[in-house]
Amino acid sequence: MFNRGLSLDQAPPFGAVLRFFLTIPLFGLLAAGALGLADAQTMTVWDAPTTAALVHLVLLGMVGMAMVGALFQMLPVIAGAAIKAPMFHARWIHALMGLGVLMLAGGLYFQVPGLFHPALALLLGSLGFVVLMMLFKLLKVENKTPSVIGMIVALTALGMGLLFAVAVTLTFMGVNLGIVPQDLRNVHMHFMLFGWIVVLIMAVAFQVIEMFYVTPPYPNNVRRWFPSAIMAILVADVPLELFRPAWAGWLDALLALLLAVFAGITLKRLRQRKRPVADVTVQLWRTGMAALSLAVLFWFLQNLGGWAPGFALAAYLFGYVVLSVVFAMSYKIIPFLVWFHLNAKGVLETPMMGDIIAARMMRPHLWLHWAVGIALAAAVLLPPLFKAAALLFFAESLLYGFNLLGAARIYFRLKDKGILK
Amino acid sequence: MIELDARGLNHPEPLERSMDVFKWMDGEDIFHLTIHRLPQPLLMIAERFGIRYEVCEAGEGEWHVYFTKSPTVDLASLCKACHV
Repeated sequence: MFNRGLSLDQAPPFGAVLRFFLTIPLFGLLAAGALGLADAQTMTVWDAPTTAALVHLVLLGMVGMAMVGALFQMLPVIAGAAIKAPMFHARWIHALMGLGVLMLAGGLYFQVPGLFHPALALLLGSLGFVVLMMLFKLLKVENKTPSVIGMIVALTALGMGLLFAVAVTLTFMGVNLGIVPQDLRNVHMHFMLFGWIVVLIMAVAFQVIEMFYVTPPYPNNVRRWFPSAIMAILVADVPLELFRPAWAGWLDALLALLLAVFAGITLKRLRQRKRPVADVTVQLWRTGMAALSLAVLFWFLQNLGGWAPGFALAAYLFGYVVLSVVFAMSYKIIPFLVWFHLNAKGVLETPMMGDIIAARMMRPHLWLHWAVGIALAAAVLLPPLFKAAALLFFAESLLYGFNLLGAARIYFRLKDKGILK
Repeated sequence: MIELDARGLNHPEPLERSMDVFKWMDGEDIFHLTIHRLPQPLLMIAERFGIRYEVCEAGEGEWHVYFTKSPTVDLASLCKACHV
């Protein structure tokens, strides 16, 4: 028997989290524009500046914003420690991140190398601070649950990814580090994609799949070892990528297998829900995990079967996986936060969570998201279809932004009507 | 005693149903929530409403939370009973 509970003072203000989430659709619109206006033939060439710009708009602009916002919300709950002056930190981190991504993507897309310096400074300053501040809080947690360990691993990987981003930028600016720029880029990508993004998705999934959908928990071995195993693979991968790239494939295969197992278990858990009501967020998780399984399959088809389009398909599907999870999570987090903060203020007119972003508004988003996935996969095989994928992605981002803004408007309309001060 | 067994209900049903009870329970009522995980957001809101609560974990996936607006009701003894 005990009295356990966080004080409301430890929850960050809604505005601190909301600003990150509302920025996701804006970067979605920019990414769709970048995809639509670029030469379709270059969109499967990973060294092309336009492709690099698109990757950073999606993974740093959309996914990075979502993940930093989610960490702001989850850290006090999971670590039991409040972030001091959360609104102040959220404001400057958000502003620097946003500006940094715009400059980096703009510098790449329009080939203006002069934008790389300030972009790097802004992103290092904001994301570097996030890494240090949050790691400092998480390392002090006494009871390190699998989710806490996952977040520690993810933030460490983000720090490593940032260090290699500096190295990559230096080499592209003509500084000779004695290492092939493409190999450095591979290491940077590995830490960012698998160490930061995938491990954070795992850490969040361990926490929320069971909580939101009332499923059995993930197996203990998966929860305890997968994040650390991924980190170990990535660290071992560094010397191989830099000095023996031909050998790195074995570790990549191991990584791919772990991702496939994670996807399989998540799909199985979603089938084991106690009350199987398949709302849009469940479908988005399923879509993401099915796409992850396909991405792994295509990666193997290229690496073992020599099927040329395999890598590009896997890469686009990977981005699609991450966005599926971001959409699923934000459609749970934002209505919950609106409901929670209005109730905490004693607003008697607080709507039901299901009415804050209605299912009839989410469902067309799901259909558009499926259409985007099909269009992207088809475009890898038939590049002119990238234009169609861009149009669909633009529409998807618009609808997503409209849905999030609708939730925010409900909050701002009602927030001063509370009976509690 | 107002009873709500929310075990196995999908998010956000347990929170929303409990909030409804908060709104109409009166000074002497005791609200007993049985749930499959610790409802931290609900406890934070209860605190804001000046509602006292006591939490106990009876086993894997079974939490009991007793809420009251009364300053005198002995919630701790109710919690003891949930282990019996």
